[in-house]
Amino acid sequence: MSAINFPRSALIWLMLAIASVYLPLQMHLPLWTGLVFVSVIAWRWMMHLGHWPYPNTVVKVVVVVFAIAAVVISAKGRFHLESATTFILVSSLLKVLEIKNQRDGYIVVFISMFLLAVSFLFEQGLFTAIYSVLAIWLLLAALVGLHQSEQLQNNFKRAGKISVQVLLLSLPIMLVLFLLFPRLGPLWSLNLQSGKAKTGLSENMSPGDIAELSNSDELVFRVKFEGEPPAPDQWYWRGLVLDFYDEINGKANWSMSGILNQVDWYPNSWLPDDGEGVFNYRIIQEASNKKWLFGLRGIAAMESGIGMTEDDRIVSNKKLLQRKEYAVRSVPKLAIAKQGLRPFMRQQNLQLPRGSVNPKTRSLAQQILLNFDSDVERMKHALSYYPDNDFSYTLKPEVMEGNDIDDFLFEKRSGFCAHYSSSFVFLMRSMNIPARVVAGYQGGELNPDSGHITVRQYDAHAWVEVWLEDQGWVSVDPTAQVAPERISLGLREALGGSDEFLSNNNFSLIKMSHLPWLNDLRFQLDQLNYYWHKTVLNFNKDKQGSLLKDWFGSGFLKKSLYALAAIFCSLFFFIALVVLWRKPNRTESDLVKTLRLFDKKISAVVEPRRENEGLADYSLRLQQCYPEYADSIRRLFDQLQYHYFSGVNSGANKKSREKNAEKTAEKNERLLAKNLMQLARRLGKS
Amino acid sequence: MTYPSTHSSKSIQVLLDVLNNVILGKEPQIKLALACLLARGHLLIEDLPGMGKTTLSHALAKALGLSYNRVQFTSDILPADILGVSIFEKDTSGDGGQHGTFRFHPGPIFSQLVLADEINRATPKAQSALLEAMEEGQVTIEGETRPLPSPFFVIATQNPISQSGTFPLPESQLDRFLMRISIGYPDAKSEMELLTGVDRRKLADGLQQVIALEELTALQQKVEDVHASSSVLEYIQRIIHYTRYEGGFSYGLSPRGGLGLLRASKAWALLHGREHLIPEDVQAVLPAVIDHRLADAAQQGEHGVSGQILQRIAVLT
Repeated sequence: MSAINFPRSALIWLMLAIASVYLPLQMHLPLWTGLVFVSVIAWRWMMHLGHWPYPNTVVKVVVVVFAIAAVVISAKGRFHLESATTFILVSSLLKVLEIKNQRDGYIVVFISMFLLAVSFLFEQGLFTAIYSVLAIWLLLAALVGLHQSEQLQNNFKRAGKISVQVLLLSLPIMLVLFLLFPRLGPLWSLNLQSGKAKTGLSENMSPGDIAELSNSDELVFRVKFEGEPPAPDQWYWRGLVLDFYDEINGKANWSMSGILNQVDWYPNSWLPDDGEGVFNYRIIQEASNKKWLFGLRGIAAMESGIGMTEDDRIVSNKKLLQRKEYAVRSVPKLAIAKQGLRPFMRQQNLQLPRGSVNPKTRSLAQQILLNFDSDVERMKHALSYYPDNDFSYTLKPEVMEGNDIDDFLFEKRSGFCAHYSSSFVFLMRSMNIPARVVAGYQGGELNPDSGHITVRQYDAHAWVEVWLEDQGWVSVDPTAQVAPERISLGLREALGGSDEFLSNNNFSLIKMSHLPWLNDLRFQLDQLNYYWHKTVLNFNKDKQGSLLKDWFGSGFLKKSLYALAAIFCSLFFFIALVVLWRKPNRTESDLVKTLRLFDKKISAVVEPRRENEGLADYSLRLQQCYPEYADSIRRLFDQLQYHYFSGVNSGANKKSREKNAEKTAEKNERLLAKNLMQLARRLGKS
Repeated sequence: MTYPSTHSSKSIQVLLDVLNNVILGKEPQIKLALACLLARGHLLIEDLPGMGKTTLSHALAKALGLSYNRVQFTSDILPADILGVSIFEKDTSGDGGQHGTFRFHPGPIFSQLVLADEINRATPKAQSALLEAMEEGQVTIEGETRPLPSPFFVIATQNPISQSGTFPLPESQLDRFLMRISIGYPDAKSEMELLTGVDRRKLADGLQQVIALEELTALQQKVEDVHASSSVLEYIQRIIHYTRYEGGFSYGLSPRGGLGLLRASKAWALLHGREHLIPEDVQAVLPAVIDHRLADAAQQGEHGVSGQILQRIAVLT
């Protein structure tokens, strides 16, 4: 079969479908796959037009070898989600070059469907889902196109139309399956690591790291409060407590000491259910591949599978490979460790390396220590050091040299939260006041429509907790001393629309939030996505159970599953029966149906009429089988022939086109059918 | 319910009887040849020598009262031998001087029934001269177009064996013949009759004209008027479709082939006294009409292409 013979409309649909599957994947895969895509599509089209030949074996081998090499090189020898996806995408694209007949078309369509499912591993938002429906539509249209007979080959629109119909027909089935199909755990657990380093909080903080986060508007989590949320300046989402100070290459490096890694997995909710200052909220956190969860101060875990640590954090028992929704309760006002610190904790939170690193800072600390009586006073004075000395807030600080904290505090005097918190904890510890860095997110965007708060990567923040006698751990944010608008309004306002904000992300809607209508639109989209996440993506076993319980009462789930299985089995069985029973693709005329009935009646004696047997031949055969009825058989079949072939009924002349003639024709037809049946009965009896 | 009786037209029946009397036991072939004539097509007979090809054509010409010419094709035959030639003739009536005119001497093609014997012996040049005349119904010689007599019917014969030194007709030329038939050996009964009876050639010579020319033309006209219902047309369409896309032939039936099939079927229906087409008509003429048009006919086994088609394609849907 030549290239020309592959149905043109099917090929166009197929190309569109492949493009639609390929495009979202390209965002996550190396750029050279784009080159493969474009050249493959161009080549295939030129082949269709007959300008270029099919690739021969040598070309194919060379291309495949190069493709595999490219996949291996861009994977850097590691196996991860991207490299696997790249491999299958490239192979399916290359298969396009080989499309010669229907079967090749099937292969490409089915692999593309798989790839479409794969793209959900990268993104699951509402728009991805809507886009996938579009892609499925194109894929189905390509399938329909492959099945179109030659006469319809060039009917481009028909495939699209049928595909829409198929999609609409499958809609109720989809809904039923979504609601009723048992949510099984994954049959296998594949930890498909993404090869890309995700921006996000890491276990250690070296001033300089967090500036990079600010350039990503990736979603971290969404929060929805029951009732009124606290004031925005209290939105300190604690994630990590960094209490271990180290110097790596002479630079400050904060990490978790691990002394409080004991997790209480069975916390009784020790916080009051309700009352002043108690906040109940739910968080939907995106997959982070880490165990940390987020929440405000004074936190309590509210679900099994979530444990609490002594440094007022909550953690999950599993890494968050998927989005997770959890309930949290917080009392931010609560004093923590008011009674005193245990010796090892105190020691950990005072820990500084011996030696003479950052001497200027140490002497400043000595000065403050001597000048004031209480720790509270000393802390306040240390805090006021920043605004008093003209510090400024920037995301792109210069690189600190030598003793980095000295350099920051006395020379450069400009930096971001990591610098401020790092230097402040150093100061505190030098004064023998226990202090630690807390990393997490600060702020977030309140959606006025749905009331949820969206926290993105650029909200990443680091602040300080200081332990004071009689007060316990107190949160202090030295950054707020310098850039209060960073805390109250968020990073975007703090930078005042300067280039530093999302500097690598030119197309972010968030950057354009100064346009009011666009901002409204953004909020609405965000709200839609929030509900999508909440209702569809998080529709897990528990939610399914409770929903079905609400609808149908308890114990329904199991019964419904059995019923569902039974219904589906019988439905498919029935459809299969019908499909197998009848010959497909045949619309039978009434005449053929009547003849089939006729055949059935006399099947004991006469072989049924073969498909290729005309009425006259059949009549002769019948006459031979039933010599005694030969006359009536011949007469009836002559009538039949005359009626169906002579053209007296089909409008050969103008008169018979009239309605009356049509009616007589129909009447004659019925009469003939009746006579045929009568004859069959008579023949059957003899 | 009333409908016309289905007895054949009388003259056709008489014609068939007469021909059957000359060529014994070959009724289907005679009918096909007659149908081909009525459908205004040309006939190719492929058979061994001595099977009665010439007798059949001669008898046809006599019974129909057609002028008849026979051309024996050889490898050195020239187009002029078929079409005719202009010859300078001295004017002898006048002053006996050098005056004269070119006068056209029509070739054997200028007759109503032409038997082109062993057409594959001739060179392609001579073959094409005949085939062009068949197609156009006229010949152009020395810039002058001369119409051929009407009706114009060519029966060409081919010898399937001893092909050495022959120029087999290419597929494009074969397409110009509406039908290709072979006569085949007579059965035992006919053979006996043949052996005991008189010489068939003489019998053919002595035939009386059965049908007037006008009647023949009227019958040819009547073929066009045979009604083909949509279900029969669909059957023909399915056959054509099958030859093009499903049967695995190198190439399918041409539109001319399809139209030819319809025309031949109509003529067959008329031969049987019907003024409407039934699927059996199509089935009856199918082997003769399509077997020579489809290239892979030789590889299709004993049933031929048409056998395969007849078995596979449903008559009614």
